[in-house]
Amino acid sequence: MLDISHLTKTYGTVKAVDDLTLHIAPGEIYGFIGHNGAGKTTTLKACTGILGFDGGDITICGTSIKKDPIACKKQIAYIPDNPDMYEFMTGIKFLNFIADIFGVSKKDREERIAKYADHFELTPDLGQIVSAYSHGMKQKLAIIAAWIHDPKLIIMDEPFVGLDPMAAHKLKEMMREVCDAGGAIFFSTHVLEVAEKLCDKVAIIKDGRLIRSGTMDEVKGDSSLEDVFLELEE
Amino acid sequence: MLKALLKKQIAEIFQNILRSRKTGKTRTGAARIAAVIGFALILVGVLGGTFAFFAAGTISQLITVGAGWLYMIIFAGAAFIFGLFGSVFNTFSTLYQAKDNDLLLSMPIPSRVILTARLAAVYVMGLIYSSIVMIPAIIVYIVKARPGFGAAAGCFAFLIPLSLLILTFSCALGWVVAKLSAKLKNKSFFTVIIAVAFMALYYFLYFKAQGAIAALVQNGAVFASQIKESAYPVYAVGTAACGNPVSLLIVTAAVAAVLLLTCFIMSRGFIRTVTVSGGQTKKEYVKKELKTSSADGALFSKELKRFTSSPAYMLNAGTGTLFMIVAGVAVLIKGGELSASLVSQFGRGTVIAIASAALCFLVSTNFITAPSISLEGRSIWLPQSLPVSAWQVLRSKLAVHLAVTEIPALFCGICMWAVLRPSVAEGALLVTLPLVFGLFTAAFGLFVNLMRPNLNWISETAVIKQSLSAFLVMIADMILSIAFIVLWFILRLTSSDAVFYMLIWLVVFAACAGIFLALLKKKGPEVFRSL
Repeated sequence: MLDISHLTKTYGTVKAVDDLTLHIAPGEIYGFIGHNGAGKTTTLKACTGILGFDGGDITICGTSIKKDPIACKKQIAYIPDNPDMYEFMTGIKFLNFIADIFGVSKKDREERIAKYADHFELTPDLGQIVSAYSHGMKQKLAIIAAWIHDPKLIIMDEPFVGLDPMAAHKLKEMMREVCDAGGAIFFSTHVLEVAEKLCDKVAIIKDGRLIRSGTMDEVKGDSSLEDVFLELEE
Repeated sequence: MLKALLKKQIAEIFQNILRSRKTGKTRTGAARIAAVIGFALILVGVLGGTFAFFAAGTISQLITVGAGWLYMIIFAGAAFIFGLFGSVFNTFSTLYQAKDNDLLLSMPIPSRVILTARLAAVYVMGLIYSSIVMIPAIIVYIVKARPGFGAAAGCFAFLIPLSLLILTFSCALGWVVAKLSAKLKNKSFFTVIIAVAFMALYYFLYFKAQGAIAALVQNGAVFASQIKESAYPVYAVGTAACGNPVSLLIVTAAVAAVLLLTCFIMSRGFIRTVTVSGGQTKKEYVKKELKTSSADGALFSKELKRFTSSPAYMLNAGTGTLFMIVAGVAVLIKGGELSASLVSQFGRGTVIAIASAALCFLVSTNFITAPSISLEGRSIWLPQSLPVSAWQVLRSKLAVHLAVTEIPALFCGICMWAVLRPSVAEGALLVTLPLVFGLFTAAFGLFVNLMRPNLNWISETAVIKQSLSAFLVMIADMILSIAFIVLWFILRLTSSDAVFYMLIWLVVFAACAGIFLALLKKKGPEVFRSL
């Protein structure tokens, strides 16, 4: 589904990501953890085509993001760590805009908006402009927008920040549903308990380099993920 | 605390001069000085020069009859209107709509300190605008009237009460707008109506003022004695403007008192006003049938919504649309009479060239694309991550500029055609030339903003009104449209040259538009992706 091969990205003389290789298969929830500034967001942004990179390649469903970014972007959805959306639009207009861009049929978009907005109890607020939304509401809107075109791969940067416990629980369910349907999830998080319970696989990045990856059991063994992470960070 | 806030506020105004958009780093000494000089040259050279020209033509008659103070009153009045016009639209957004209001209010900063820092920004804008009029007028006064060193210094000191008076009025108007806006649902629409009404008043005064000033200058002695007898405070302001220390002190004290009173009233409800979310009650969303459109259609609608949802954007970058519609109607109503006299004086071809230049000038006042990239702000990740090409995104910005500008330009051009009754070739050029010029301004504005974007703004005014890219595009477009007609007279062309002359400009504008469109298409996507 997602192949990151020898990804290298530099900012000036600083290597933000250094020769990173990861493979995310269909049906996997893949957690990406690391300290602040480790290179997580840079990697995620490179996977979505927002950020160019200096070395290596990223392919989504076999298509290189460098060679055909639009074909790749059609397959994915991205939720950044701070979803700044079009504040001048109402929630429903924003979702309809995203559906238009992805060419979602009228029937599908209406069904999905109704389903996910009800999931997150956002339906009554869809007529409000986005600038009036709280951080959590914006996060919920970004999640609905991400799910609206039924993507094969969903890339998320800290998706649980700002969500209430009920919404976080719903999101976990939705993530599992995507994977059960043959899709994949690649997301970063600092909440190690969530990663430990939710992820099939996990990758730990430090100073731009991948220091450990694999199934949860392979990475943490008998310890907790937190212990392993702290040990690797030292 | 206040010092830190003032530094932030001033840096926001001058960030294009203080910081390089290309590298994001603060400019070094030499680059900073060069940027300041360039900015000052445009302000002083272009606008200041125009006012100096008017001042030199007005002063002699008034000085001869001993009414130098009346001359200063005239220009102080002009500076007041110009300064108020320049800063009033800024006041509402700077004081009440700044994105960092919540952040600052959450800190242990008294609201009066936040208000003072915000007011400083408004004051600086008013001071700059009023100085553009007043400083050339003062220099002309000093050269012609030779008032002595003390009085000359007093003339410059008069800028203090004048700019404080502008600040007072800007604040009062901004406060009224904020109070009314807090109670209304459709704020953008309301703000635009208020601003358009204000602009209409401004232009009404401006056109009326020309006749009034001419009458004042011709009958300077009579008016001077009448004002002195029946409106002594006005005379006192005039003498203060001429550097009389006692008058200056009294005027300054009076203005300061009014300003303090205004600030006191404003500060009382400041927190409530900036934190109010609007008078509307929260309306629950009722499911409706959704309309679908293509990706291009969605991008266009989004851009158009961005434009119409921001009063500042509409008022600063889109007023040309209103001017063109008004001009078209005015031409239909009054144009026949005027065109007959102009045609008999200059010949039809010349009048058509003038009309075309005038329409190009109106087109140049629309610079919708110039801040459009910057306005993406922190939501730039959306068009970058969605499955649309960067060229599609850029094209949607061009399309909105063209839709908002070219339709009224076409309307105005057709009105001119109907009234001027040109030949087919002249008429076709009269209508086409402004349209092609509009295409050039759209492409040029977008290209400049793409090369010099500011995505980290706090108040959108910073990119719409105070950004170098918007300013450069507006000035360059205006200069081009003026050059079109100035060159006509410099070359001493006659009516028979109109078609050939306009055709050359059409080719020039089309070539320039083609170059910038090609640059946008070739380089644009790569630059857009790297933002």
